[in-house]
Amino acid sequence: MKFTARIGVTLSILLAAVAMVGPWLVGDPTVASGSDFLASPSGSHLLGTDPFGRDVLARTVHGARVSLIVALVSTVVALMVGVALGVLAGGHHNPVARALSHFINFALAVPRVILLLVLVAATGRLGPWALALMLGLTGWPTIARLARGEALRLEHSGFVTASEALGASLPRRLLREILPGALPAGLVAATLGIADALLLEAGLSYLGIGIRPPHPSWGGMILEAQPYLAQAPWLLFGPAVALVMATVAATLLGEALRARLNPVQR
Amino acid sequence: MSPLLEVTNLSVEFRRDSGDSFIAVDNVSLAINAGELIALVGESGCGKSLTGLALPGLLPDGARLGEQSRIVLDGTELTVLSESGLRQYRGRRIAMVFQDPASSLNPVMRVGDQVVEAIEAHRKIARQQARQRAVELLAEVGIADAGSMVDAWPHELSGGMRQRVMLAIALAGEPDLLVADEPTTALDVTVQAQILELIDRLRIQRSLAVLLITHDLGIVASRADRVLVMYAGRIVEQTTTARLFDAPMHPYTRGLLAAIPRIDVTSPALQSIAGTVPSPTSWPEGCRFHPRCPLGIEQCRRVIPPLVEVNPDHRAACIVTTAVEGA
Repeated sequence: MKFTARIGVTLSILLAAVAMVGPWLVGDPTVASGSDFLASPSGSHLLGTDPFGRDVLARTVHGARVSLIVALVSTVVALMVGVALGVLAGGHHNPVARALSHFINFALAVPRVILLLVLVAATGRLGPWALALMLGLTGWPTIARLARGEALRLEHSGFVTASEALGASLPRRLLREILPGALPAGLVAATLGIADALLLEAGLSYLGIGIRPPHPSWGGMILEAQPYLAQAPWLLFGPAVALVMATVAATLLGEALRARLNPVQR
Repeated sequence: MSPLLEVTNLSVEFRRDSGDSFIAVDNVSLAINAGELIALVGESGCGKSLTGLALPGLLPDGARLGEQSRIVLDGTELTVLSESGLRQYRGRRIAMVFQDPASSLNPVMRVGDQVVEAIEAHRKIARQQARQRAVELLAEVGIADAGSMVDAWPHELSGGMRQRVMLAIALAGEPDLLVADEPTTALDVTVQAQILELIDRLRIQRSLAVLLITHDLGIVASRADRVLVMYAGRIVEQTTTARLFDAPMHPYTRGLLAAIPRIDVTSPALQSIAGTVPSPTSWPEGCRFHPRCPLGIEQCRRVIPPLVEVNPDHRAACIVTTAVEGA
């Protein structure tokens, strides 16, 4: 395994571990600690406290959980929707496939951020799970395009023709012959999309329309830190570093998976 | 006894988006009995593969059968069947084997699973039984140690073994007719002989009818009962294999035979037929071979030569040579 791939895997495991176990090790992220407003980092508050006296370390660690949910849920949803639509659109020739291809192109043309803004405007601010679902439901078009390309290639490959010649029905060919071949490309695209989902969640939260308070989210923490940048710059440190680490981890993990599943570049 | 498969006036027409159309297979008729091996011979682009694909209704997009086309398998007219009706025949009555065994196997499935899948596609059968049957089929097509090879991946097999697996998959539906489209073209010469021998053995043991599509007359010489020679979408000569080699009638067939290097004849240069097969979009008028024909006369430019019987069991479509023979 390449060095960068190692870093990606290690960082991902580390962040996932923090997200799963961390919240039990730090204090409650929503409870204000008496009188320590905007306290600088110290022994009792390693990353200081925010304007409401809440521990920044605890909030950062809890924020990792939000990010993990977003990464997993949005990726799985986008992967399932994208690969299913891509295979249906590319795996055969008929009006349904043509219509789906146009639909995928249309979806690719819609700016994701603006779509999310509209959706959130319609639903109001969401919890972590619902927002992750929303990110997944807007993240599938690039995956669908790749899966469609693979399906188109496979549809004309010898073994799909051979299975048709031996009496395999269209659903059977799509499911048994084309889907397994199109899945790796979709999986790589989905993994590379994790970083996008993380940044979008942070971005929406930073705009104040992401995760509903009081759930701590890195983007939301950065938003809350902004007015106090001059007085309390440490507020920014925890969420910013965590967000960069998570994004780098997701990108390197995606690259590692791509190198592994793409035999040409291996 | 009526033949197992009877094809009459099979034509395949391509219609392009621009509205114009061209005919790639023109009035081909042929018949195959159970247990018989018929060879369909011709250069690339003469329509022989399309003829094979048309039998189980697998024409590519944009292609369709001519109105006069009839394909009768064991008394059933196939050209009127729907897609789902045809699917009942694919694999179960008519099986196909293609040229490139490397791409005909799904690279992400173990070969045994692919055979099992073919078995399950045709009848309800318990998983364990299907697997047992897969091992039997792999053994029947000459795969040594079939019991452990069922778990092999396609990339672990040689080209010849892959083609054997393809044959096992084709046999899974217990077909009556095997259409083998250039089954040995992608293989080494020694392996070619083994695969042909296997096809020949299967046809005798299972009294399987085989339509062997090839451009290699050497393949035909050893195995086929009868040969159909195709040129530019039409059958130009059909006869028994022995007669074809002894007394070819059509100038195209003669050219093909002359182009085969022979070990017993010393000649300074290998003969070839001048020119190339014309494209289906621009087929010549009259006899389609006339621009390349050494015997061509003025009439060949205008008259479409009929396929006439010059002998029992020997037909040729050439107004020059059949006239001489008949006189």
